[in-house]
Amino acid sequence: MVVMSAKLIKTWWLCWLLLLIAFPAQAAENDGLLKIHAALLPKTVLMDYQFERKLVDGAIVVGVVCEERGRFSAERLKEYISAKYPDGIRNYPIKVKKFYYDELPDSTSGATIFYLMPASETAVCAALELLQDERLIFSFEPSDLRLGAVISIMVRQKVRPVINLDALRRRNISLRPVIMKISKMYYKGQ
Amino acid sequence: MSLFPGIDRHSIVFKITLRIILSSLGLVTLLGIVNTRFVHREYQELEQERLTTIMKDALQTLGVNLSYEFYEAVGETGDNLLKNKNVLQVQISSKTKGEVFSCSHAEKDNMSEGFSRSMAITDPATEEGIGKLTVTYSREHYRAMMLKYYRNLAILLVIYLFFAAYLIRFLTVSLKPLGELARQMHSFSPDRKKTHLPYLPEKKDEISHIARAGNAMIASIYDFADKQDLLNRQLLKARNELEKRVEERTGELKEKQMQLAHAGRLVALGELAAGIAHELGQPMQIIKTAAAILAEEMENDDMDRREVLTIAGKIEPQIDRATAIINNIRTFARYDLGTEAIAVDLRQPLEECLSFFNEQFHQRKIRADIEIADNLPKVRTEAQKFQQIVINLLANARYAVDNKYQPGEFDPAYEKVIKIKLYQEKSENKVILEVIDNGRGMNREEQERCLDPFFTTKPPDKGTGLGLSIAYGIASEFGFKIEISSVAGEGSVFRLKMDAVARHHKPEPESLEL
Repeated sequence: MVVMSAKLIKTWWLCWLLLLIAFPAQAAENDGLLKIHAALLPKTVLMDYQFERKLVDGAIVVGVVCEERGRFSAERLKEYISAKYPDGIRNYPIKVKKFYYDELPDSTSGATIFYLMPASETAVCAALELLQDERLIFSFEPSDLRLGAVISIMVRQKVRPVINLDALRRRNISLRPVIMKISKMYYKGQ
Repeated sequence: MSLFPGIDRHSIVFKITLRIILSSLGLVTLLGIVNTRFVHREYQELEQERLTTIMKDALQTLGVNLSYEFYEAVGETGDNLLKNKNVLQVQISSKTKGEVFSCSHAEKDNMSEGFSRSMAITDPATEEGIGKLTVTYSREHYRAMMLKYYRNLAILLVIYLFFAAYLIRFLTVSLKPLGELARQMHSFSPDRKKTHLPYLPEKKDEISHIARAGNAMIASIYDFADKQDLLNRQLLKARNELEKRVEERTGELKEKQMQLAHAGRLVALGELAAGIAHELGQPMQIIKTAAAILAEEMENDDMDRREVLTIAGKIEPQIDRATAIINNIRTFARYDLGTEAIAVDLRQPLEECLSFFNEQFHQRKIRADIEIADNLPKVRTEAQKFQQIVINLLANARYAVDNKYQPGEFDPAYEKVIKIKLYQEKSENKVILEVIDNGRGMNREEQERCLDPFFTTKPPDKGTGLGLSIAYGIASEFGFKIEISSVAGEGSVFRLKMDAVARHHKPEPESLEL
């Protein structure tokens, strides 16, 4: 019994050890993606023909939609954007505003672009239902395009944006051709 | 100093450079034409490719934007296309909406100078054609490129011309010493001891090698010339000595010949002495008789003066006759001092010779048939030497008819005949003397050798064998020819052919010696 207990304790500690190793690794991967997203989000805003109409008090506001557990990632994204664009972009200041999936407002007028952090499919679908206005919806997960997100990032040999054309048309967003040229198109059913 | 020294149309440099320039220009022109055609085509293809590239670049987004009716994006694509300075006009049309974008550059209104291309716009999702993109592209860039190409070609041509000029200059300067070398070689003479090829020997090019070889050759020539000069001097000295000795020997020989001829004449006179004595005896006898008659008449008181005068008148011709004989003998026996040949009428010397033989022929009962033609031309010779030939021929003929038969043999029907003919052979313009006898004749060997010195068929006390040899020598001296035809036992013919002097020939003085 003692031996068994000792073995169980040993296994438990081993599991904890593995978790301790795996968690920072997961966090580091996300952190790299966050840096890429932080660099691309303000530029993606500029690709919209009507982005000036969607400014909030003259500033580009990135609305980060996250769950409670993702708030740290949202904070880091904010830090990265601030660090990357301390003076804004094209003389437009950049602000990052945090939203929670379960506390989303009815109107999308509070942000220029929304950034969906990883969440359950239900939460994402609910968020997309709420955010129907002509705003770009940038999703952390490319799989969210299937649910109706407008744009995401695919990281393969090189980083390429993926654009959901149906979502664009539905939201009446017209993007500049330059982003079309470098992006991969997502069609309904793919 | 000329840019291209020593160059003219005959020089190798000129020919080489002319060929280089002409062939190179021809090659450059040909290559230029061919290359221009290639460049022209390549630039056109390049422009087409550029247009295709920018249109394909635009079509990537146009398909998306047109299919989802993002007309702002379509317009921006059109605007972006127009930002290309060579794009004159862009037209984007949709199947459903018609022309959705059409814009041309304000500054590029001359559309006729451009070329257009249309491409279908396809929906990236369905691959269906949803519109058309038409771009008019300017040829200005192509023209600019071609202009640049022509400019580069011209620059290359100028560089080539400079290079050709440099090449000609290099060749002319390099080969200039060759002309100097040729000039020096042309003016080279073995007599000019200081002549040498001046090209700098310290250089190591081919011309210097030639110059050094030429100098070595000239040194050899000088050496050879020196040796040759020495040999020439030695040869000249030897020749002079030889000529002197030949002259001495010739003089001696001539003296001997003269002595020999004189001796021959004396021999002939000796042989003729009896006849001559008889010839002289007759007038002497007549003179003696006349003198006796005159003496007898003078003793008589009744001297018949007419008869005395008649007898005295007979003395003078006899004296003249004897005097003539003596003069003939004196003339014939005179020592020859080498008088000049003159034009001589041969009849008189021939008759004088015959006078020597008259008595002999008479005593030996030889019939002499003499035929001397009238109006004969003269012959350039010396009368005395001609007489010596005649006497030798007559003496031989006399001996031949006298000794036709051996002692003891006799032919009662045989009559000794010697024919002497002197006539002109007009066809050959020659005077011919023929002495024909019906004596013993000569066989073939005797005929071949009869002119050799000391050859004789006579007994040792009868002849020296020099008679015909001397006659032949004299004939050769005056360019006469002696022809002999003889048949053993039947007789011989000796024919002396002499060149006649033209009748209009101006008579020459008796002697040229003053």
